[in-house]
Amino acid sequence: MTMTPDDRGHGDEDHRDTEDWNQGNQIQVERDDGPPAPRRAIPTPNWGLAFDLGLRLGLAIIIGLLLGLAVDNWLGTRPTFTLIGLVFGVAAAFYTIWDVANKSMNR
Amino acid sequence: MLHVEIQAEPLLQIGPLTFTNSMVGALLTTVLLLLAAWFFLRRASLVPGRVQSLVEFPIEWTAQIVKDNGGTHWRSFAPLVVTIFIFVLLANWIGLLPGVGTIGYHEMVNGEEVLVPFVRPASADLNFTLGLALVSFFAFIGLGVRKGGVMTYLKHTFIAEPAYMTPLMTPIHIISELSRVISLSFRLFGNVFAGEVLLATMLFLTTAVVFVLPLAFFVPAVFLSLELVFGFVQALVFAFLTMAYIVLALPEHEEHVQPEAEAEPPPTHSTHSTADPARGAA
Repeated sequence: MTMTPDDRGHGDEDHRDTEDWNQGNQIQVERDDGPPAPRRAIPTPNWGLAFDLGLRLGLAIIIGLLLGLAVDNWLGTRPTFTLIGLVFGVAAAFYTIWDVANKSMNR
Repeated sequence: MLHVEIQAEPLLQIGPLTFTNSMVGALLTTVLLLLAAWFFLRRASLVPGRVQSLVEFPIEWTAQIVKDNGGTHWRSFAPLVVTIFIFVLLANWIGLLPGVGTIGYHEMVNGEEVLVPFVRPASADLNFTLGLALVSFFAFIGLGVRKGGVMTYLKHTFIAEPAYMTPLMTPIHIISELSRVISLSFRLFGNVFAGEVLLATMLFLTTAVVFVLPLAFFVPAVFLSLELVFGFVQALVFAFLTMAYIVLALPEHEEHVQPEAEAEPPPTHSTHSTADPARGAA
């Protein structure tokens, strides 16, 4: 924190008060708890990804189900692959969330 | 009779190619963009006039967002994202022009006379949006391959981290990737097509009562302005999701840090810290 001469010599509460005042007035406060974190670019529009995730959740389940149905119709094994496809679809839905969240957090 | 066909209606048959009214909309959009590009490139000046500024504004605005969010490789995909934005925006807004969807020829379908419009907005056809989504899909695959290499991409896509999980994870990964294309295409198609249906319904209802309530004539205008906003938002969502997919597909360790952060001087020792409770209590 950059201190003015008036601040020095006061108690801790005064320090905190001064700091609050400084922060309130947007005066830059220096910290000695390690180097400052580099300022990162504005993150990828997360609202768009969130908007997209909602739709992809449902679609992944539907795609898995339809693929399972197609395989069952082809092999005549209904409902074995329909159920497997449904399970894979649900798993893919959760994987989609994990994948997007993981990549976003690693950025 | 209110009638909005979910699929684009065929106008011509040229050999094996069926020429639909949404193709007319896509061609119209392309021609408008090419003409605008030709006209403004010919007359472009360093100090832009009013019209040039108006044309340059959406391009600069989109490019700035791509620059801010796109990481270090933003230049490699900025043209694609900006082009998608402008193209989808115009393709959406074409449907709001007078005559689009309302001028056509009549034909009999199941004993009822229906209007087949000559022009239909390109985005109200699933073929167009699916094609655009595939362009976006192959673009992010292509950029990922270019930056990381073919083998890295294939390994990442088809081989799971513990190799014995591959039979389980590969189908899941493929379904997840497929959902990306379908979500992009269905969202745009659904929104624009719903807008077309809404406008047609409003026009139908207000035409029916306009002789009794003359003010009803202005009701479709409200929905037209709403469609302007929706068209813009959908173009924005499509373009920026393409960008987000590309950014997430690029190698993570090369991600962007603002240059000024690197140029910052080393931290100076301060006289006070609130993060250290021991010092605060001393």
